[in-house]
Amino acid sequence: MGMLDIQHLTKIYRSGTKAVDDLSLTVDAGDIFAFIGPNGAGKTTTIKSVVGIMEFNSGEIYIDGRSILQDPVGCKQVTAYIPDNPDLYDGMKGIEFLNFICDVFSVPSSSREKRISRYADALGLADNLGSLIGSYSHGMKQKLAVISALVHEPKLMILDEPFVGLDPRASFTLKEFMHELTSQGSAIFYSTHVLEVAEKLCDKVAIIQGGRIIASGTMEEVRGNQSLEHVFLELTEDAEDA
Amino acid sequence: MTAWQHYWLLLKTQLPSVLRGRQKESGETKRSQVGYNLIIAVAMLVVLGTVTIAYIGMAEALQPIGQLSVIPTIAMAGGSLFCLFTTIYKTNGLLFGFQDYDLVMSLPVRSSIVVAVRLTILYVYNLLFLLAVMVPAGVVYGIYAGAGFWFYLVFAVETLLTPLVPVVIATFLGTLIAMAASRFQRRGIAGIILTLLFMVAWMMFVYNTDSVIEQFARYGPQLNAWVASAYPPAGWFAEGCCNLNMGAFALFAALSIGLFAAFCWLVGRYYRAVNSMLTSFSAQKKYSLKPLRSAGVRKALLYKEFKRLTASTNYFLNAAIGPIMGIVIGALICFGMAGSFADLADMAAADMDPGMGYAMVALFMGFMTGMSECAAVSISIEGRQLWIIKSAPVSTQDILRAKRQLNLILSGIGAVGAGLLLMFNLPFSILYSPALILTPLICGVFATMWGQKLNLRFARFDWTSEMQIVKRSKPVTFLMLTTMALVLGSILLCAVIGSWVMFAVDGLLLIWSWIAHHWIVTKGTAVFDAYSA
Repeated sequence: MGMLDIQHLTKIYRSGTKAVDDLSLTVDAGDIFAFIGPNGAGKTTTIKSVVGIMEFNSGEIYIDGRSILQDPVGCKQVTAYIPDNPDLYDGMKGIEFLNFICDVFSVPSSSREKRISRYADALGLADNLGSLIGSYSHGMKQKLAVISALVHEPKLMILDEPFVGLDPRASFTLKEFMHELTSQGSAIFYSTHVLEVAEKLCDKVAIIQGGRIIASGTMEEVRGNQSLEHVFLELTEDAEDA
Repeated sequence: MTAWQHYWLLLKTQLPSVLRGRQKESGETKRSQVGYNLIIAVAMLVVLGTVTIAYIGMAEALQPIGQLSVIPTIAMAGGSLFCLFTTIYKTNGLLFGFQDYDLVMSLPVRSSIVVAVRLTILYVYNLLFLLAVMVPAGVVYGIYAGAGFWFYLVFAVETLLTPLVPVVIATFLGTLIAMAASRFQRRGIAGIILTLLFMVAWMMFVYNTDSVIEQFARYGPQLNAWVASAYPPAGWFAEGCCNLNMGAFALFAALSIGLFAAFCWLVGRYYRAVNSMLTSFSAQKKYSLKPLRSAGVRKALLYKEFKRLTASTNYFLNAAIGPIMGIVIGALICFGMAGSFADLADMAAADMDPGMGYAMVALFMGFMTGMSECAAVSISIEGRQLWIIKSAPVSTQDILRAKRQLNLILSGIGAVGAGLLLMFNLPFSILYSPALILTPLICGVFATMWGQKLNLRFARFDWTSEMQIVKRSKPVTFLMLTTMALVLGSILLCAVIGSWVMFAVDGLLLIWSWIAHHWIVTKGTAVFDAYSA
């Protein structure tokens, strides 16, 4: 079993729309796994089901061997999630929010200052941690969300367009941290529309359309001799025609 | 496009979305929506009926002495005061710093038009309430005075104009408060403190009133004259409709419309500058990491709830104003500044039912703590930040517990604080004195459990303005209606039947709270889990 194991996941909204249809995939420890698809394909629904913020109709999700249905708290303990547009608590200071995250994730007090300091310095947010989050720009909020995800050293990191709003230096730094995490045995499940970044960063990829996986495997297996963009356009067009 | 065309276009776009506290929620059936609207309609009828009965009582007393004009005067002045109070803290969020400010201000529309539209929205908010107060007053006066068509016409026009002046005054004061608060980093808390200081000062002025009680007791021209001197538009209002004094009517209309237009123009001139001041943050010096205090999960969740409450003036004042006002009223009595409440000491010492005074005071304070609506709001107020606690490794039980704890703490402080202050000022009774604390505490528990149950059943996270949640949401409406019916209704019953009604209501509220709590800890967690972020 991988770090993330999705088995026959199905989600049908109240309107009758089947957003995810019998989806299965595995993300192993050490993987940076790209999850790509056109708009409305079911990426966000899948991600929210994995993170435990959306219920699903059938199937099972295991994180580090634990079932999200049987042990949601245990699963969330080892998972970090950064949504595509992180709305944070505007009334808190940056440091207060990070301390709150450390409290709920039970980060040892002996190490939290060191970790916060490290990530905040690296991402260029250290000077602003004493300000209210409401005063932050979008990019600063994104950085804060990234720090809050890294600070509790998750085994599984779920990212939805994490580079949007980040300046080039912060984007580079985040990629470095992603490699560092995976080299330590964690896994990253990463949704994006920016295929060039996914191609360079990720080891494995799955393409979803209409709630179903239409291609999955290592980056080399899926794209072959072509670019990921090319393969993506071909496959999604074929799937539409089918 | 002309300025008027811009005005109407913006108004018809913005007004529905701001007023839309009751848009159809996703998954809500038509039957449920109709049911809700029916309940609101019934509640409105009850309020209208109660207000009408009160006016009829006044008319019966005033008609023999030929001073019926007191009725529209009092209705207009009282309604205007309420508009003033409730509009002050809406300024920041409705006139300034509203969500689509950037979009609206990038349109080729004059700032004064944008301001006029936002002020019109504030006007409409207040008009809806004012109609409930003014229409019965006008009808009762008209019937008792045998007024003709012209009275009703002038009264209707003057009623439509009434909210303009209080909206302008409240907006002006609210802007001053917001500007003062913006100088602080913790502008949320600063705004709350400044607004509360203003309200307390106002209450002290209004309630420090042997003179008001004496004036009210005398009725008649003295009261009319007093109100007119305190708020001249009320005098012109009454002159205009009751005596068909066209000079007074013209003065009232000119002041209302002129002040509104002038204010729109003036604010429009400085709109961008003021908005920038209110929404921007001054540069903070570089932060250097200090030792961090760690806390357990439950304490951290409670801290988060507290921070959310104090980050927003709207949320705080709507959710916590009841317990705070309870303490303020208790303090006013304690320091001898609320003459009318001194009568309660006499009632407490009365022979007929010595407990009646205590019971009515205890229930009134219970009504104040029962207005603590944190628990009815705190799930919905997560809004777009819901993903944070839903993705955090905390149990749903802990999340809901923290939200209940906040409400219990607020209402508990209000109940104990106000209760102790009252106990010092009323003669001690072994049976009834503890009720001054216990009854408000029980009402606070009821507001917590019932409020959270309602919020779990009717949560919504897609709001664009906090006012949709803290003022006009289903949970808040149902909580207020239930509290008013049970607690205020009990005060009336106490007066008629006896003080034992208080104990019966306490028992009922405790049982109701227990049932609500049981539902929360058994079925409520599944309901919360089903909400997706």
